[in-house]
Amino acid sequence: MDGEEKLMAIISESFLKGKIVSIVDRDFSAFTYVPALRSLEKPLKDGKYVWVVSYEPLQSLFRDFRRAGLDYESYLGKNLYILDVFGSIRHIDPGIGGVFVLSGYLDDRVFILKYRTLIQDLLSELGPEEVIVLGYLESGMCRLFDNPVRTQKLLWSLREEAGIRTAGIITYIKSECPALEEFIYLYSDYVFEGLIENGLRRIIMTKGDGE
Amino acid sequence: MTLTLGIRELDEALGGVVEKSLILIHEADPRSLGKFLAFEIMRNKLDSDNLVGYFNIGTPLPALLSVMEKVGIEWKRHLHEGRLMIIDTFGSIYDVKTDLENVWYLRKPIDLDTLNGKYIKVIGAHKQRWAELGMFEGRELWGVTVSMSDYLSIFPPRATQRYIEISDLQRSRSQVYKKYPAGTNVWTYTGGDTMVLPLLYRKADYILKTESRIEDGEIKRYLHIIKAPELGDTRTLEYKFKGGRVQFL
Repeated sequence: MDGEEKLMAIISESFLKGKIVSIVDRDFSAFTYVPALRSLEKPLKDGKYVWVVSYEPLQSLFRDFRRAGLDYESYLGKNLYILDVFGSIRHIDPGIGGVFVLSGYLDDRVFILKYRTLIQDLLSELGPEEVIVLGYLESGMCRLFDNPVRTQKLLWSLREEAGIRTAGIITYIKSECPALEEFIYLYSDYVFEGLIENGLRRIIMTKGDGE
Repeated sequence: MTLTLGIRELDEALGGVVEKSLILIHEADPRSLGKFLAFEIMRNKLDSDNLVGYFNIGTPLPALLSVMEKVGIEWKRHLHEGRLMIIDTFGSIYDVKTDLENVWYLRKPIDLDTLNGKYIKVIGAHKQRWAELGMFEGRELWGVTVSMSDYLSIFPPRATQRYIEISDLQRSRSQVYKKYPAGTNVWTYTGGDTMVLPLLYRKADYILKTESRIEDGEIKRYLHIIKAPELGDTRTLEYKFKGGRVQFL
């Protein structure tokens, strides 16, 4: 099994078992996270709830969804929801159904409080048994928050509070925000690193059974 | 007196560790998973009915407890049965609090000038509890701090440096360390810097440095014994991470 097959197999398994899989691209030319987005197709088709937290401009996420061949528009607002963190911090509301932006004053602490309220409201409205959470390019936190390390930890800690089974995918480009790597390796059940070596695109499992 | 860490290969390489010593696990890169070595020692010590004081510096407790569970630390049982106590620095600073028994919080406001005094107070109160329950009898006492480098993401580097420089002296003067037994300590530190890490290297009795490399498309992890009481050449052991456990080859 090559690296990508292994990654896709582990992601599918983690959806069933409520595990966290992280994809760490060494630099911004690896693009390992794009095929990983394709793994959302099946759970979306099966009607499972997917919650995407995007730290990059929304159009970047949509472009990557299209590149991954994911027909996101069919699911958006039905069982696919997006928190546009970039839009929230930069005060840009795209006005698209299924996409949330947090409004008003935001700093790192206020962001967490408003985010907690949003997911509590959403969970009580939808009442899902399980949720798949995708952190889309969490490396963007270094551009959006004063203390990205603390913010990332507090955000993922909310998963423990939620009281429902949550599987997660974290996508992250190390060179853009090296400080987040520590928590990713501590908290994730599986980590895959993507790199280009001698012109070959490689995906290597660097944490988890089967590494 | 010599104690074991409960990890056979490491105990053989070190010949055990001297009681009341400081063991620094320097996780040079997060991928080497050096912190899990500290969790492994902690699990062994708790499962063999010893006392552990865990100093949580930079992780929200709910996330940390979920990691502990995955590596087989029965934290609920050990907290309930009193052999584990946790001082939650992160929760104290950022108001992320639980009502778990034997988890302590520090009184606000918290800055590095008053932090050590607050730790000493809480440690004193808990050691008094252990003494009243007669729990020191026949048990080892361990302190586990994860992670010293987290201070650098909470406080400025100079203040962290000063804190480490003076906390030794403050603790040596404190009655708490004279009245009750002192522990053997395991500290972790992730990454590298030239302000705080050199102080820890000098202070520690043992330095276990972990690093990882990708070799032939596979992850390899190495532990280097950099410092031990009988300073010799450094020694290197290779280990794997499997089923949430550190396994030496």
